[in-house]
Amino acid sequence: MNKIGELFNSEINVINVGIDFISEDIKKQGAVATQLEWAPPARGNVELLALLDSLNSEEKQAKIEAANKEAVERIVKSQPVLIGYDQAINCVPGMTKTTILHAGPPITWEKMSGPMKGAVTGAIVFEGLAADLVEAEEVAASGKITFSPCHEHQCVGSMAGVTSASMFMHIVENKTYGNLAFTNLSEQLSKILRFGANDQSVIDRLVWMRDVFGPVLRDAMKLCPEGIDLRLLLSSALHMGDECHNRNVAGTTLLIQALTPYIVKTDYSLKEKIEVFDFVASSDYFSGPTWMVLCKCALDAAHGIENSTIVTTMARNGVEFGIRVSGMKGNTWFTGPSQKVIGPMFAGYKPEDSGLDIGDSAITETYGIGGFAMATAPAIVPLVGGTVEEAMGYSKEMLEITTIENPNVTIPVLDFMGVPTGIDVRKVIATGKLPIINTAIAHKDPGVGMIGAGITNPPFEAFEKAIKALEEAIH
Amino acid sequence: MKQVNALSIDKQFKEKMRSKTVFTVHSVFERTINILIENDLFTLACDQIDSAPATLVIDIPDFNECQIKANTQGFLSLTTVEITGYLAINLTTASIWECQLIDFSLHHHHLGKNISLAMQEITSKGNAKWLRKENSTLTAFDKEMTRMLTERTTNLIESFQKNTNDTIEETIQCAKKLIGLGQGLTPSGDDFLVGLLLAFSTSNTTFFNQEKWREQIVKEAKSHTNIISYSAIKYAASGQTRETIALFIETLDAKENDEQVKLALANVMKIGSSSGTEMAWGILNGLTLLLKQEEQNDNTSKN
Amino acid sequence: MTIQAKIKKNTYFDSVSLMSLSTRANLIEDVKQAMIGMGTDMNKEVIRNVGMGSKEIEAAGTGDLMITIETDNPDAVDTIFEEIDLLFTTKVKKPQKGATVYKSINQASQEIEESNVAIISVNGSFAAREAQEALDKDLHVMLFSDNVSIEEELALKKSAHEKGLLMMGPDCGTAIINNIGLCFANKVRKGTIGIVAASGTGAQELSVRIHEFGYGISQLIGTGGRDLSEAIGGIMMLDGLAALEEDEETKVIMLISKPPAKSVEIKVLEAVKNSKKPVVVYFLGGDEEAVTKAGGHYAKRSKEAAIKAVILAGAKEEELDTHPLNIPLVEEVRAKLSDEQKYIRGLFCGGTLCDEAMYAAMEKLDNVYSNIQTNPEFKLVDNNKSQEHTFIDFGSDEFTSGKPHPMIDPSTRIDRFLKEAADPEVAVIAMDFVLGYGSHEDPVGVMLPAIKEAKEQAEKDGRHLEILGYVLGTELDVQDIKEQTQKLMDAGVTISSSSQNTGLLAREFVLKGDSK
Repeated sequence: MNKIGELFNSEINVINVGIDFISEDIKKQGAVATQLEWAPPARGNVELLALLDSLNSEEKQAKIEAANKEAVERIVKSQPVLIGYDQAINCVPGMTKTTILHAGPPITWEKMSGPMKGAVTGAIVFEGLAADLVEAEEVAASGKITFSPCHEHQCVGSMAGVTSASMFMHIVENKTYGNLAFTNLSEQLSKILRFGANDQSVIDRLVWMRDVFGPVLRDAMKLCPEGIDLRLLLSSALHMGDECHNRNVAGTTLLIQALTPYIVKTDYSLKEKIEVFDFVASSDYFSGPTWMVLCKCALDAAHGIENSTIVTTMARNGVEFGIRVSGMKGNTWFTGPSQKVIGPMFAGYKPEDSGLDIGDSAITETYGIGGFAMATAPAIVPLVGGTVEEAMGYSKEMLEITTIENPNVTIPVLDFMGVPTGIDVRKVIATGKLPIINTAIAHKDPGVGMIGAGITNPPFEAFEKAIKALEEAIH
Repeated sequence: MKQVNALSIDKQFKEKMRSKTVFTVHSVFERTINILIENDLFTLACDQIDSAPATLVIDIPDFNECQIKANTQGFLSLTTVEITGYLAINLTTASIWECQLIDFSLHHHHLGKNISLAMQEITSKGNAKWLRKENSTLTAFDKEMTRMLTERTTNLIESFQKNTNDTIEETIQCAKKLIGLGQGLTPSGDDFLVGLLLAFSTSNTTFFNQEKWREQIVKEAKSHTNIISYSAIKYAASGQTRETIALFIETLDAKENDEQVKLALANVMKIGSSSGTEMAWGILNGLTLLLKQEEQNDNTSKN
Repeated sequence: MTIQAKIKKNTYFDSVSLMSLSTRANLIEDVKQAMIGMGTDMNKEVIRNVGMGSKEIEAAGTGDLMITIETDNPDAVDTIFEEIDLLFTTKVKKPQKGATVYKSINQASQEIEESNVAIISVNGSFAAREAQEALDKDLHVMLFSDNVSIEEELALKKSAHEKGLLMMGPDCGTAIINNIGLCFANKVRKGTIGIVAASGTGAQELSVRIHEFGYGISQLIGTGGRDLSEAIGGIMMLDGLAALEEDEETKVIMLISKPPAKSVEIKVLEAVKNSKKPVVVYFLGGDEEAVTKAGGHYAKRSKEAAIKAVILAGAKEEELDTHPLNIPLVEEVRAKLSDEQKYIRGLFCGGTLCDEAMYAAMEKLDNVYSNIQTNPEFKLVDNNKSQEHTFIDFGSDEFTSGKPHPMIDPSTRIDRFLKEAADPEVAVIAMDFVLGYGSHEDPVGVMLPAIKEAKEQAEKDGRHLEILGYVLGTELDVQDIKEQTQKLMDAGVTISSSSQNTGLLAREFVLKGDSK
């Protein structure tokens, strides 16, 4: 019997897409009808839909799926290990005495936001390239300084992300794939360079970090030839209530616990060691950059796989939000405007005081932690707003736009679901759902610092540009 | 790892909780998980399941979310059953359960009535195709299976009716032909034998060498059917069965109450796909045999 | 006869699942017999006894699951085992705790195994995509949406044709499958007359007439308005016709459409010629000779078509109440109209109803204008301004862009009605009131205030305003047809008993004995 005949001889069972009276009327007649909760794909943008359909051809889809499988495998199998600390000039590829790296996609001095300019001028003074902040501004505008995104030098930087030659960096090696990644050290307190502060206290602290903090850490790690397995610490931190972007209490405890025996054994004076321990104890944020560089290390290994639509970078410079996709190798950025961050403000601050989304810390969400793993950190809810239920929900929602769950990094309260890994540009466009990021809110003026924390998303525009480029590149 | 409380534990299971004992998960179903402790099968059951021999009933609606796979390791201690990473069961909350099969008095005339009633229910409404009066079987398999089951259960019963210690060999051979016969997880033949074994254990009848018969059946089952079915046979041989079945047997002996019997039987028939029905059939046939034997004894003694 | 067995080692399934697996395995295509059971000696004996033994079976252990199949098609063995494997991995359905939300056809069709039809009414830009997704998932499709391109329609219909699925639409508003009305449809009894219709209200009209004559509909397949155009070539009409040929319950077939493209008409009539069942062909304004030559039964008008169909289904003509035209009524109305009152204004919700009335008028009048006239000479210059005899289809694209269909939102027609009613040259205003699923809950009620107002005004002006109303529906429809009709009569509206009569009456009212 053919299919139409089969239909005539069975119970009609309808899936209704669109006007609901149609399914209501069918039910009134005693038959089964299911009403879909349908929204136009690609947010109703017919052009984007055509791009998606083009990428969905049998041939292209097979290529993309295979490439994505490899990319995601690389993210999951990466084993980033902290192997040491050293000054940027000694380890960061392409670093020079007059290079200043920054967070986010490429940007010129003129276009930089207030906080980033503050950080840049502070760094220029710190490096001795100018006598004071006024001169530093001239130097910055003169063309003598090479500005480049941290990401293009295997680095990541939190908030303004300003990284200069004499700053000490984490050195992290991907034991599975061999690539290295770097990031500088947390300045701990709130009036700091990464928020655009640049007065003498900031410079003095940077000097201490260069002369005492960095060297102590460097020499400590020399005593640890096998390195510190960061992925192991990350998993434990998530099981202990951190999400490793904004909440780093457990992570910092675990990291300093691992470093302490070696710090103690170094040849530095007791006073210096005490300064180091006190410095770390002064803020939970100490391990924040560490998780960022772990993520960078894993994602770099997944970048540059032909035909892959997996997002390998999400980063902001305070003006623009940029993403990179694995299948577009090298340094092709897809950008859109940096968004507002919505969340509770510290006492005395109002939404008008906030600066726009800034920093490379969204690399944590790109990897699958931070906002994607909010279910591991219910305690963060008072900080970023919303309810615990919503926080739990985000982790599950992100499954709609990612490729797999990372079996090595799990969320206990969701039955050990692996963190959602491998953001797929195609899925973001098709569902219209954007990755969720939780992040700090910086004051829009340089130097004030963190005034709150909240939730934000990348601009849809960045993904639109990415899908257009991917459609052209994939044959 | 999901933490749950135990609700009831069978005495045999409790005996195993001495020191840290390791076990392996044998098979996983929606409502039960079987584990192997040194080659013996034990069962972890969700709260939908009744107490049964070698079974631990726990406060969990089902095992779907646990995602446990066969061959996972776990361990038992005095206070906990743990399948590491998946499930940790607190034993201190469990009440101890032991199967209580009553001793039948075969003289109650209502026993015969209740048996008839229950048999009628099974042939008209039971889930076992081969026992239904109207037999609309589909495939050649089903037909052949029905034929073999009917033939062999009839042969077995007839061999008992010939009754003497001499015919024990024949009875054993007939029973062996039922072991492993049938398509379910616990084959129909096995379920029928479980029923017979339970029926015989309700009375200290001497009309045949029960002990020898039981021993042989259990031995044969160990190597000719799967371990899950074998375990049921093993426990039935020592007069132990799950609560639902024990209750059914009890109602048969209780005074006339058709509704009670039908209800208890209905609960038994819910077990498995046709297992419950087939076990009930075995019980009813077994009790009938005992009744007939009692009658004969009475008659001969009268003479 | 091919026997093949596979063993799954150490595999335990509960008995209920095994039973289900066994049953489903036996339903797989090309499987003559399938047996799934534990590897005990006894079970092996059964298998051997029915001649399906094999060495794999012999090697199975008591903890292993045996799967053995018998098939007459040796090439199908691999596919069969693939399908059996699928049975093992398909999730067992559990009752949902909360309602599951389905966001896509892919998701819904996967999780609702019994789903067999998708009805799509989203915006035209996305409709074709959803329809293709449904066809890919082996669902029959009813595509209510319009504004789907002709290329998209062709691709969808070709795809559906290849798969043997129904592709009803785009722009298909009516279907009745297994006596369930879909979208706009009337409640009618089930019967032996099957319909394939390229017109929604045309199909509704026929179904209602057939029901009124005491007969019923087996299936009503909609094809969408463009199916019989040159580009589409009648794909759905031909497939629908073939399906009704096969359908045991269908004894008489009816085809309804506006006049098809010539090449398509030839194809369709060829199929009619080869049909073993009687086929009534109602192509509005179609070619009688061609139809009769093909062995079909030609009908010029809708009621006529319905009468032919029920007679072919076994009715006796003498016993039918065919509501012939009421001549005394015609004369009575003619007498009431003044000389100035010359024109018909037809204000319709149903496209085919408008068409039929318009064609009736055109038979005797040659100044008939419309927004749906195919002859450019008689297309309205301004759709909002009537010219002489004017018939308006308010359901047409010109009136529905951005607004809901008039069967749902009557406001556009109400406004136009008042305008026409105030025009002293207007003799009769004809209107349809469509009942059934999808329609307004009180189509007459929403029009009544305007009708009353218009009648009062006309009386004040000293002229008789003839309003002719036709209520399309059955006594089974949700809206009470008796009540609807009564309300109209109480307001002084003349009732027409069918679409056919509406056109004829309106025309006759204005003829006044002369034909200009």
